[in-house]
Amino acid sequence: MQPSIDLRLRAMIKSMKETITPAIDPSNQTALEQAKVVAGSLDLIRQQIDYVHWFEAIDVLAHAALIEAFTEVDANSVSAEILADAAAAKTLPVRWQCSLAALRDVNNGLREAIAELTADFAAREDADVRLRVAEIIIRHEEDQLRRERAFVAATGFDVFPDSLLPLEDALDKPRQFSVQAEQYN
Amino acid sequence: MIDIRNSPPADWIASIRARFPTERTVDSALTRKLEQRTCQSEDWTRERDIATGLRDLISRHTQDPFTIRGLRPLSGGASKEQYVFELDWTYHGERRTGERMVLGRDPVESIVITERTREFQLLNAVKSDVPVPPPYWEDSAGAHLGRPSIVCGFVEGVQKPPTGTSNVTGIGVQFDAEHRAALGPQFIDYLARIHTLDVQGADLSSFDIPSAGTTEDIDRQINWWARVWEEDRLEAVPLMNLAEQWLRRNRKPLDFVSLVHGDYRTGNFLFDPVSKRITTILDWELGFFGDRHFDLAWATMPLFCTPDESGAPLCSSLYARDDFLRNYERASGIPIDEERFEYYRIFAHWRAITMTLGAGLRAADGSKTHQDVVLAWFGSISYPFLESLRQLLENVHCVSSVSGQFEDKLVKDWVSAP
Repeated sequence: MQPSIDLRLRAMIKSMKETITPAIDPSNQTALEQAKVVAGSLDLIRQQIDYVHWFEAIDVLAHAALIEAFTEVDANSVSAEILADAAAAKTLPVRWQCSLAALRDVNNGLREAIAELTADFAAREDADVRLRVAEIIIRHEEDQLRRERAFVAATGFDVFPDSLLPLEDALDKPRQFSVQAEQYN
Repeated sequence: MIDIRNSPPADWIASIRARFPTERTVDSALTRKLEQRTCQSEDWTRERDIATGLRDLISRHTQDPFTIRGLRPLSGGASKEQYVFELDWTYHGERRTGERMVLGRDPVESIVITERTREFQLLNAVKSDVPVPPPYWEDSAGAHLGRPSIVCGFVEGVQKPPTGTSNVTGIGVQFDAEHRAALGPQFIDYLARIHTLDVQGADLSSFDIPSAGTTEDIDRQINWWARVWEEDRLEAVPLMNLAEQWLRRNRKPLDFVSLVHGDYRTGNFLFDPVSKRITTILDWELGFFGDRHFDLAWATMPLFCTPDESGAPLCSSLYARDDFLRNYERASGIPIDEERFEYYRIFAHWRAITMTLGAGLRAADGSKTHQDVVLAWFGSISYPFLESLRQLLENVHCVSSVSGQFEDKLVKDWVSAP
């Protein structure tokens, strides 16, 4: 039996907080700030670790779906090769032996393809096409960012509490609510 | 997957420079960054080496004997290595003992890459009108300290009230009503002074100053940050492409040329904790000449807001947004163009994400700074920034929110996947 990752992370956090940080010279503010960030980062990783693979798998599916959505605007906009890549990518997350690195690699490829497609659409003269693509991206990102924000919520930077979900909920269930951030925007 | 950005060849660098024309000194700083990308952060940060380089730099500028004492690292900031020291020296015939100074030295890469000359020239241009650290010497070529550096006088002051808390780089600093009442008017007054400053006669040779009535300023700004995103991003983000394209299509000619601070927010000024007088405005390295609405949009971003006692958001932890804007108009005597302000809100978010998710994470990924762990942590702020940008783009594109639609399809795809 291996000691669990959670156990090891908790031990590291305890060491940082109870032994290492108090031993730092109080005049060394850079070291103190970094020690605080290291402890916070370990705690964040502890919260994320069970979901990392799951998070990346959803990301792959979301990007493959975005590429396919572009074909609804213009059936000829996406090359057969990119469509094949997107279709192949969707089969990856269900393979239990697919590594996180492999998922990341595929995801990066899909993201690059999307960036090029977005640039191609932006160069079109047809304003209606541009608007439809913008709408697709904005809706895609609404779901995407709900997951991203939940994943790093423990850093304490988020300012949209009404739409900030617990991580498992953000990954697990489609949401039906509107973002309540008008007080800021 | 091979990322060309990890080891950019000369022809790729040349194509990037041609694709994103910007100010001369912005181009030179970014080009140097790319040319040094494969360099590792050298073991040159020992204080003995820093002291030798600092002595070399100062000796180039003063003929009289001097002594450097108490050189030590200084906390604060995520972009530059900082050291504080005391200097015994002679300034214009006056003997000074124990004058405290700050050395700022560029890391190999950072969340912000700029030429030190720009910062040095701006500090000199504004020092009579705005409280800033007195600039003494700069080494933009890194001839003395291995990397570009600047030496300024140390200014006393605090970033937050003694009992206050914050996240990194001054984000999340909160002020009580007493501090807000004292600091708010000063914050606005200095911003108004910066935007209306007459800089005639100042040496600003490192800047390409745009003309009113043209789009030179915004074209250079968009190209600057689009270039940084292209050079530094670890992964593509569709919303960033959409934002850049919207900014290019919707830019307007400049109405009035202002000096723009570029990072004007709570966290970038110090104040005396007793008198609550602002003692210095910091971090001028992102300064440029262009549209004042940038600073207004930057200072009012939701991520730089904190709630007041009733939970209402305060821009830069000081004012409700409308109060901030109206007070600024009164102080500066220049009206705010609502359309430009909305435009720059999108620009400000897009630029912030380029810094935190692009340049900052690239620097940390390459182990290029003394603050890698802070930059990696700070990268997480990009996602609420992106959500805020998404909402702004939703408004300008008049896209109705149909939340969950994409995930519905996504889950069906997963269920039906072989």
